[in-house]
Amino acid sequence: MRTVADIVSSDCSWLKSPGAHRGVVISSRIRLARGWAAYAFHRKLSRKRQQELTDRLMEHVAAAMPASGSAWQMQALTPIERQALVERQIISRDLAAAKRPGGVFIAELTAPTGSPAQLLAAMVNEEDHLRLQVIGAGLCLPELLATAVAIDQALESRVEWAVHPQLGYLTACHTNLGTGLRASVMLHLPALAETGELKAVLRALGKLHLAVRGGHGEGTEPAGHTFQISNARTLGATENAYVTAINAAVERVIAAEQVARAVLLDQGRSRLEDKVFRAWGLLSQARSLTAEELAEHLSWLRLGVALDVLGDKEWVVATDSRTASASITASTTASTPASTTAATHRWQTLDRLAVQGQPAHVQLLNGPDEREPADRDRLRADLVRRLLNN
Amino acid sequence: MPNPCQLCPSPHATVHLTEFSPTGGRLELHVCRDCVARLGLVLDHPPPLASLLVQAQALAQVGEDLESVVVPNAGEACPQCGLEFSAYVQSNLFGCGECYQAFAPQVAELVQRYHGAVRHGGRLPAGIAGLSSPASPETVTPSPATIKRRKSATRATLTTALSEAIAREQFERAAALRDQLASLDAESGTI
Repeated sequence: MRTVADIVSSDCSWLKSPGAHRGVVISSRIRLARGWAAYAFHRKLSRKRQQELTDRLMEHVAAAMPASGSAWQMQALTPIERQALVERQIISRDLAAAKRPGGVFIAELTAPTGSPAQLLAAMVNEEDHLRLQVIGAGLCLPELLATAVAIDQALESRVEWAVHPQLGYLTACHTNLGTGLRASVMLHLPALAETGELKAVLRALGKLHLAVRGGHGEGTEPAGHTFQISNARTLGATENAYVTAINAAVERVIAAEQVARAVLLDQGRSRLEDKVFRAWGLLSQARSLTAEELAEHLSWLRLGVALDVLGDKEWVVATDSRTASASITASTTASTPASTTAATHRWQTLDRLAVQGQPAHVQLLNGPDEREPADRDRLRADLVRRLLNN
Repeated sequence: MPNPCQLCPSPHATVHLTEFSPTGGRLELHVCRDCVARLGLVLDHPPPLASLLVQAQALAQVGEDLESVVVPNAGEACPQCGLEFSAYVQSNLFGCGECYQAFAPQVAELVQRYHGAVRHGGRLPAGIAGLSSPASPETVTPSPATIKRRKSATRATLTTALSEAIAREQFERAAALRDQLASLDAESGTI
């Protein structure tokens, strides 16, 4: 069983930029909400019964998962460990903040050759008794849905879910009722934001009953131009229909972002270069960086690398780093041109910084002692300089 | 003269956000103190105004749905957990699965407004038949025997629930269950 410290020091399985869409799509996620018919929802369940529910459901989840993994009772996690799991998108901010009993289970599903790995995460006694999540890199909602349904079916033979023949799966809030499905895709949309087109795109998504949120889900702000697009409605259509609708909408947003990037390159190249190189200069030299500064400037670096504004000449990757990244990336072969290997290394670095530069990660990567924000900002800048300068 | 809040009827906006686009455009948003709290705005780092508007719109929709639902028996509590519907309106959290049955008329209205439908269209656990066709990525067309078995199981569940509702003198619920049974029988061609 892994510790939270092990997880924090490893790369994210759901973060494999640039993927098939030149870095626009970051990750996809399927979430199923389920309630156990034998128990009331948490607001009407005694603490003792909540603990009983947590213990029993954690056992069933572990048995139903297609891969072995790690499980924690929430009480066993320190506040900083909980925050690190939020930063990894494994648990919600609500579960991290809850004082009641609860649990989290995570496992990694190694997919067949050619398919990306999937992160399986179960939150127990969150708003609903079970929030089952499957997360993968890039745009892969149908594959994630198939995994989630298979796990749900395995659980159904062990647990009697609360269902209503007309309303479907019963959840604590009517906004999750029916399928209990939230399918979401995280996108990086700096060009749409920069060209001012984002507002129109977001308005159109609202009319399609799709929700747009910050990178960490409900109630969070978009940081570094990352947005999560998900279905607002959960009842009335099939799971496949929701996934198809989101895929179609996301494809249109991707196309709009690509057009906006082309416009930026064509009509505002000098301004774009200035933004990218200011970000590069600041990140590669700063001695103190807040998490917000890092997210904002990392966004411009991602765009710079995606558009080849920041390439081999500017971001020189040392030979030993190329070797190191070649050993990490299965698809990289000895015959791969050095420029391709260097590009892979750049994307891996950007992904790593996006995760490991977050507050709880910086804290846990530097030992168990609690640190002041100013101290964390200094350690964050050290990490960024070290990774960007090889 | 103070600006009114652009997200609610409050006449006093106390936070004024201005966003400049690189093309020279300018977007202003005036928000009251309550809306700042409701949206969880961090004023040092406000989100793009466009995403803020979408978020406000979504929240307003849920709020309006809840406030405008007719509550015929406002003081009536769920027989299973004791939750009153007014408590749901405040927190958006039901007490148990039975609440959906106890507040069936209000739920129907809420669900219709939020989801634009009242009938689940997705999959259900094996052996539990919905009143609509289940569909999952792996679903194959069930055989007539399977359909008959599933409908029979649903019928048994509904009949038991109906008897319980009548015994508890929950006549609204009983009427809803009777209607569901009638629809099921009509689908099966048994009446």
